[in-house]
Amino acid sequence: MSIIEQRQLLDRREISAIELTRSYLERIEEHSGLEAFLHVNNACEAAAAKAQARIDSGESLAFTGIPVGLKDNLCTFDMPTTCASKMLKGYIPPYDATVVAKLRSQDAVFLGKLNMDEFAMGATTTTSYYKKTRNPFDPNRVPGGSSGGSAAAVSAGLCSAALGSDTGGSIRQPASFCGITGMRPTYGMVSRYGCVAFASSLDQVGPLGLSAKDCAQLLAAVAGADGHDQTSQHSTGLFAERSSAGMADDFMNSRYEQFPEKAPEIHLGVVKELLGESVEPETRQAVLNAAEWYRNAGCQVSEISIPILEHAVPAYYLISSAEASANLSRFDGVRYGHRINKPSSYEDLVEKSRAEGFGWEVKRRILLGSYALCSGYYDDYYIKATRLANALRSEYSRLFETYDAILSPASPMAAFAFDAVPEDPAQLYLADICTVGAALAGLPSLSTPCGLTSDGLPIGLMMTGSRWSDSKILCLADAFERSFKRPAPKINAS
Amino acid sequence: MSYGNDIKKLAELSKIHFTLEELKEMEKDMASIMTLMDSIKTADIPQLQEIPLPDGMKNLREDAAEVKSSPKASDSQEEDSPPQTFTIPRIVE
Amino acid sequence: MKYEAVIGLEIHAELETATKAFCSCLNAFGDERNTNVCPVCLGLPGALPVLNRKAVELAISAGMMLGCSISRSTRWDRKNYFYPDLTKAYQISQLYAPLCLGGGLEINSRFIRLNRIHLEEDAGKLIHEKGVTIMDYNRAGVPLIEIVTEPDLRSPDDAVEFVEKVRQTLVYGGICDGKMEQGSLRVDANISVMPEGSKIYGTRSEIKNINSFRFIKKALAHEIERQMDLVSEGGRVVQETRRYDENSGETFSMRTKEDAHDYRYFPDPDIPSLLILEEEIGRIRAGLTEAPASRFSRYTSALGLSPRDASAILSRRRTADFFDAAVSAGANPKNAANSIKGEIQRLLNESGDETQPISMPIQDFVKALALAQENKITQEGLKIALSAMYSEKIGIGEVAKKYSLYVSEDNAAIKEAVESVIASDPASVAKYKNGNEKVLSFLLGQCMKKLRGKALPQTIGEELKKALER
Repeated sequence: MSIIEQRQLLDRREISAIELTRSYLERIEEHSGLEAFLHVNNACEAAAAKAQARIDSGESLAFTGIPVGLKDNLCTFDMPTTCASKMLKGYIPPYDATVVAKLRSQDAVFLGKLNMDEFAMGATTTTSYYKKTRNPFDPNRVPGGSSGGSAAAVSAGLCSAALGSDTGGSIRQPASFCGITGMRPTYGMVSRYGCVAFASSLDQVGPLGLSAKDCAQLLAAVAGADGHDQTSQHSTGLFAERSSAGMADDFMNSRYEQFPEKAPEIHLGVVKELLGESVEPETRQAVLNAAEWYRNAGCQVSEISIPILEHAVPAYYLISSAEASANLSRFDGVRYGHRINKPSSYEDLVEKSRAEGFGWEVKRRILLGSYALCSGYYDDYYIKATRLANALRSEYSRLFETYDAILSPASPMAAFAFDAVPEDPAQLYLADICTVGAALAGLPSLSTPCGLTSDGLPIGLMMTGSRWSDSKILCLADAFERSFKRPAPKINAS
Repeated sequence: MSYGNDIKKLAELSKIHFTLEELKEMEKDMASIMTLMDSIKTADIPQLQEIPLPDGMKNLREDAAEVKSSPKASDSQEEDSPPQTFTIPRIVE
Repeated sequence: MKYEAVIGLEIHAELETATKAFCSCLNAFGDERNTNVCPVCLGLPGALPVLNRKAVELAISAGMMLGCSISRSTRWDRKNYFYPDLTKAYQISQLYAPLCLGGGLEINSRFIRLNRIHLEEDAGKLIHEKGVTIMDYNRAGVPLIEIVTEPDLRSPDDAVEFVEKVRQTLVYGGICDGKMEQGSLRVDANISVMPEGSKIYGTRSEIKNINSFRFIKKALAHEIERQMDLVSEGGRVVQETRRYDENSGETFSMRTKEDAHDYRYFPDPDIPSLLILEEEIGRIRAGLTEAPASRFSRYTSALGLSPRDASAILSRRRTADFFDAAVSAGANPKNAANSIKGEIQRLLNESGDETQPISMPIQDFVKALALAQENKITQEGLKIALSAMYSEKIGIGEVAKKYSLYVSEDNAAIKEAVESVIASDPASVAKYKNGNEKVLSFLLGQCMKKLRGKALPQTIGEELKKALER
């Protein structure tokens, strides 16, 4: 059931908010083996009751009474926010993230906090200190990451939609692994206030849902410049000063909704470098089939080349790790978070609390980041990486003068098995090749399902647009989704 | 390329305690990671000017004290909770 | 071999904003611990800095008043290090593209150059008690400007005078309240020695967080002596941070690991780089108050005041502004200066309140001065008038009437006073008659007291002499 359909049922009183919430809570319980939730909200039903009162008085908004999930790096003052780390075990923030506050002000129902890779560092959700989330399509496989809990929950019908965060692919890749739609918006579209920082210049909070339409609804509800986040901006053109309902309409009603008629005006580019040897054949084929679908629908589809993508992965890891090394320094056991017993000195307190609180991947990134910033290495690594990000941004700008959107796989492969997670960190990092480019350039980018492997695993088509063209790519995805049957995991009965 | 000494120094800079085994393990990992990162050192990337938004100072924050409203409207929250205390073992300066 | 000292200073001044640099917490001194804090300045997960416009404007004002060039494109960087008073384990500062460059001030007819002024945030306070250290984060995030000089200073006296001048300039501009005892202004000094006349600087040591003029002088003097003794015996100065101990009067090495101080500066991605518009620069410049140095030249050259008088007036911005207003309104500069440095300063000192404006309409002040100049009231009368106008907040007309200040043409009163003084003090009269001239001024003083400013001293003197001759 889509969010719009749920809204109609609620507003027509065909179902109550409490019934709707309870049905999700039951499913969460039923599928607890998926290990998607780190914390189930014990005040859900109270929130649903409050929503119902609002519906009854005729003042419901898009998300009133709609049960959603939140990635556990989004601060909630009434639920723990652990970032799936031992460092923040039991930590309850004194404030709501802006995106959370916006949904709360609509009386959305928060079902709980969703599992993730520790501090959003990873692409498998296996670095979580607490649990391993399973892919609803195959419990022996990873759901992707770092928003793996969010993707698995949406895919298995444990919530109607979820918020996640994407720094280098952390929404798009798990969305593709779990057969759902997930999007990172234009950098600055959504406030980062209250989203625990990993890489400040790359993090964006974004929606995961069963369709582009649902993602558009959720994005509209949380988007907007925020006085608490100076990197957030008023979107230009289409969304300037629109209400969130207006924005959702805009997302769907731009000229791109008149798809068959306007198709010939649409230019799509398929990235050559992202369909090469490192990509699994079935994935490559599914994406090419999707491109073919657009061509048959009347669009102009051609192959494009972005050679400097070759350096995108190292640039991404250098920039994100450098920023993360500073962003994670605040976790020192002094004011909050994990703290060792009986420290002998301040240094002892900090060094041991951090050693105990952080997992191995996080430590790796912190050291890598510190290294890239050390005097003597700063120019060779950090500065060089930012130069690449600039060049990439410039290259994309040039391409978007001709193309409306750029297509590629969301990942070189479909979900792999838990015991097949690459040991070698470099190899693991290279799998991010498809998604890091859009992140480095601050572009809106989404993944929507476009096929299944012979093992029955979802394949994601990734679509990237120019800055502030979020509505355009959502509509293009919506057009595809209307004709492509989204794969459903076996566990998903409804 | 040996990162041995570097790892120890980085661990100190990052204030994370590592056992000897952990340092060795990390050294191995970093060697692999740095092989990937090093590719950017020799990459030929053009240097482009980054132009900040020409907004001036108008989007900066007004210098006005915010009326502190607790986000929690719940009754369970005490109205005036005492200010927090932060202590650590005595620092010798 | 003779050595000379080379000193560079880093002055940290807390800005007079209502709120902190990156959050809306109050920028206040003396509140209960940890009551002016929020997720941002506490460095809680997910919190983000939001730059305060007024802080930027005040920093630009400081740069303009100290002769710097203002960077049109400026950026903030993270300075990474761990210390319990630093909540994020990085300080938001400016390394690569500071707000202000160059500039300087003249002291002892030598020009001391500035390297830069940049805007950064302050850290919290540490309170050491038995076995624990307690953190108070009220000060964490307060906006600071750091004023860095070139190593142009040559003595502790230079340093003191320079800091005094900078402090005065900042207080004038409403940029910093200059209260060193509250930590509003703190000084770090870099000191080295080199053979006299050499062009190569020696290795320098650093003394941090000096918060009084007395300590600036003592600490620097001691350190210079220590270094000179060391090098003249063939030793080498070690680059290190030293601490000044008030009790022993000596500096001690803090033995910090030099290696660990790689601050790994990089541009703060949470704060967009700032492009300052020309009209914003123009607006700030138009709103600047005239710096003390510039006023001093004007007072001593165009207005003919002595340097001492000029300095006295400049000691408070209020008195300088008052003086300027009086002169603009037609007062004689020298007379205005005398009254301000005398009676007005006395009244301000007595009131103890350094924040209230001088509660006397300029027109009344100027009129009072004119009356004295025209001998319509005496100097004593003028003093009474100023005091009354200030404390009672009434105009000159009312004051003159109330205290009968107008010099009376009536010699009868004078004669009466003179007779009464002579009659009550025959001993002094006898002395005078015996040739003691000095006792005349004593007798004159007694008469003036009696007459309470109602007559001019000359007139009283004439009558007194006449009476004594009889």
